[in-house]
Amino acid sequence: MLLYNLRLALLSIRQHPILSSLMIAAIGVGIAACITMLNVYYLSAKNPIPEKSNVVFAVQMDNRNAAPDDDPNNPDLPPQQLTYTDAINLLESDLPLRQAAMFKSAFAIQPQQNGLAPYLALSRMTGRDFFQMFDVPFLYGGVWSDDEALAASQVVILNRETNDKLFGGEDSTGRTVVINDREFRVSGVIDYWQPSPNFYDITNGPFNDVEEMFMPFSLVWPLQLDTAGNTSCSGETSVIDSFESFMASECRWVSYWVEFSNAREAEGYRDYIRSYMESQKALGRFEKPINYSVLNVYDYLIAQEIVDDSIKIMVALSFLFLVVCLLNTIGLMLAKLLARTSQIALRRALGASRMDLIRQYIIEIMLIGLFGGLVGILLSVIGLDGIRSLMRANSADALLFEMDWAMVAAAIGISLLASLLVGLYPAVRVSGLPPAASLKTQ
Amino acid sequence: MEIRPILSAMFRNKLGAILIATQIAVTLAIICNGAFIVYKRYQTMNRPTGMDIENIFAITSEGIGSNHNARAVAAQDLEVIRAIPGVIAASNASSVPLSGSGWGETMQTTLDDNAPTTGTGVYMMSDQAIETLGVNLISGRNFTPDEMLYRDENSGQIPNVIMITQALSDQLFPDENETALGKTVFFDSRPIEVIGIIEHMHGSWVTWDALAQVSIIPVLTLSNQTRYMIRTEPGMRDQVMPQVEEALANVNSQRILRQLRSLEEFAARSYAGDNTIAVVMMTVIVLLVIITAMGIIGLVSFLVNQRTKQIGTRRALGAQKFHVIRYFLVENWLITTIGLSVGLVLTILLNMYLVEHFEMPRLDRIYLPIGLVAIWCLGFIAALGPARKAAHVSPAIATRTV
Repeated sequence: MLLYNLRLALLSIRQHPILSSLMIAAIGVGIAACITMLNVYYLSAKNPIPEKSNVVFAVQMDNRNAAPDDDPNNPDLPPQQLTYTDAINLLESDLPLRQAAMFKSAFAIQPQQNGLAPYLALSRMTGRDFFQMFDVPFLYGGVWSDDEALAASQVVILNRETNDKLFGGEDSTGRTVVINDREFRVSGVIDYWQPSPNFYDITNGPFNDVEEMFMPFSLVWPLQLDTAGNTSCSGETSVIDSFESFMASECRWVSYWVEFSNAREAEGYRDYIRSYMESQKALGRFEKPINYSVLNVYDYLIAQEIVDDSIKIMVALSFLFLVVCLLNTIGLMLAKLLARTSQIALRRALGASRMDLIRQYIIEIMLIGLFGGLVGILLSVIGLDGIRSLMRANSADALLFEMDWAMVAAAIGISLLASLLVGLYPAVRVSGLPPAASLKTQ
Repeated sequence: MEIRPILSAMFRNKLGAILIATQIAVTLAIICNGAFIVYKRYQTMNRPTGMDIENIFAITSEGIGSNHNARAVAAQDLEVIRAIPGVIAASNASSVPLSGSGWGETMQTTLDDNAPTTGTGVYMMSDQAIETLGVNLISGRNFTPDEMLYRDENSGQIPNVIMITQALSDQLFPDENETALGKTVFFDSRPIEVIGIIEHMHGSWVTWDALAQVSIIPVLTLSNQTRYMIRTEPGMRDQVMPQVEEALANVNSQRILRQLRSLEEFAARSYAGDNTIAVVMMTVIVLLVIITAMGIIGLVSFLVNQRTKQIGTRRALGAQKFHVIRYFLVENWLITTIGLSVGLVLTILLNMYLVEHFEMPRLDRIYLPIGLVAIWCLGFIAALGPARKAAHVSPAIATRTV
């Protein structure tokens, strides 16, 4: 029976090519607008590490003085980054299962092979736990050892693209890369990894690329590294005139992440942070009332409001747009069915029940909805491509504009649901016309 | 006119009219609010920057190794750059205005802990800063070469003199008759003398409230990284850009030259989000207009088809073509107007929602009459085609089928 309904529906679509394609186009354009905006929203609001987002936490402490000026909209939100002093002190704690301080720094890579010119690359300076905490996949080798971290050895972990560039994609573990005129030993190569949003360093752009390399945090002293990211010194009153005084200052430039085996353990850690801040307050630091947060990835991203308001506005407007398209489709469907009253009357006279007809027209409109959904997916691929070029996206940003199966399913789902809504009234209305009157006017 | 018969005919086919009226209502709401969003974005993007934005570009040089003589390198590079034909001025620059990256600092008029602090975007440049940026120095003077401070990478040393924008001066000294010129202010809690006031200039972060509160100090930081800003004769920029890159590479091939970008390109990147919203919104508006027009054409055609016999009868009874056209246009005008009156309410509701939840400004009232007239015209044009088709119905139809 269903097959018969489908055949009739296809036949009817072919019999009214203009009306049918107008309906498909209207649904398609509406769906495309929604899916395009929904996709941008969904990917900027999505959970970058769903399997761990409730056990991995960002640590924030407010060390600003009384008059914060760096975020007037959220004066109570502690800054995203910590001072070097606090990061080093927190590393002493053995409460977290894993923990890592981190910042990014820029280096000149000087390729020794294949005639490549030196180029600038970013490295994340961090601890060993970074990789396990964030489930970073390794292609070759692994993390540097504890001893190497303690000794601030010149070791590096490359990302896949850098390894492809420097070593043609071979296993480069143990080989040497010249960086800033120094020799670094490759301890491992990570596979493609790009959390989106890039949660671990949203200060420097929630949609930035993951760095090209990773090196031990402890190298900061011997190499006198400076951060390639944001440094915020509001609250620092003494004069900074040397590397040493910068490291000891109240400037914030290090982010800090911890992992617990379960979410409850974070409570104990919060107590620890509070008592740490109180002990520092006694030393004359943390002028403002104690203000800190230990938020899991999910809550942290919400608190930091990384989803742009304008994206939400666009999503809302695109759904209104879909409403207009659907109203249009209802009108078209009604016109199409009313043009067919004689056929409907004939079927009714020959014994088709009202339900039969309603089912027939619902199936027809849903078939049109399905086609509309497919057209919508095609159009939204074009739309996303357009937005990508307008946004001048870098490669991580580009992730924002990729559709996954969830979005394709959403597109089909929304269009089927919408077409059902659209078809219901015309189908009920038309199937209820008295057959005799329509037949008589023939 | 035949308003009464039109109304009674409309009531016989309510649904079509309701559909179109609703569609028109939503269309008006989206078009007014959407056009307002587009206008606001373009207004933001087109704010005057104070600089000669079309003729400025920047390039960054990264020296490699630990025995890099930054001062000598910068002096030589600037000399080479300034010698290139078409270059008006060039300066080292700690960061590029409108680029999204830079140095934000606090300023005060007294060192009192309770004194209000003001934010400023700071640029470390040379004595050619004013010429390079193409900004207007309205009072005071430029830096002299011997005021240049050459400081180590980690040094927090600041020079004795500073130039600030009028906006920053007004912020520091709100009194109308007072200006910062010649005064000593506190920059990062250290005293510094204001020697020049710049009429207007934008800083690095285009969303920052203090975007126009800019200061320039005569400093070259001695590090491996040196950035240069270059201003060319009008129209020469694109020609000079590769020449500068080549000339710098010739001076020293063992360095990395990167971020060769025009100031317009930096600005375009900073405003990419605004531009995207504006373009997407305009696309939505255009599509919406097309779809609504198609809806009106569809409805009127449908009504014309349904009423072929009645049209024929009217024609047979003496109505002229003009009367038939007028009938459908008036009917459509009525539907459109009903839709627009609902749409007015919807537009305001949507705007109130956006104001409440998304910190959008209130809709300018002027958008409502413009939107109304635009959709009236749209409705008229869309209905004209099918209405004229109706006028071609032959009076003989009335006699043929009964």
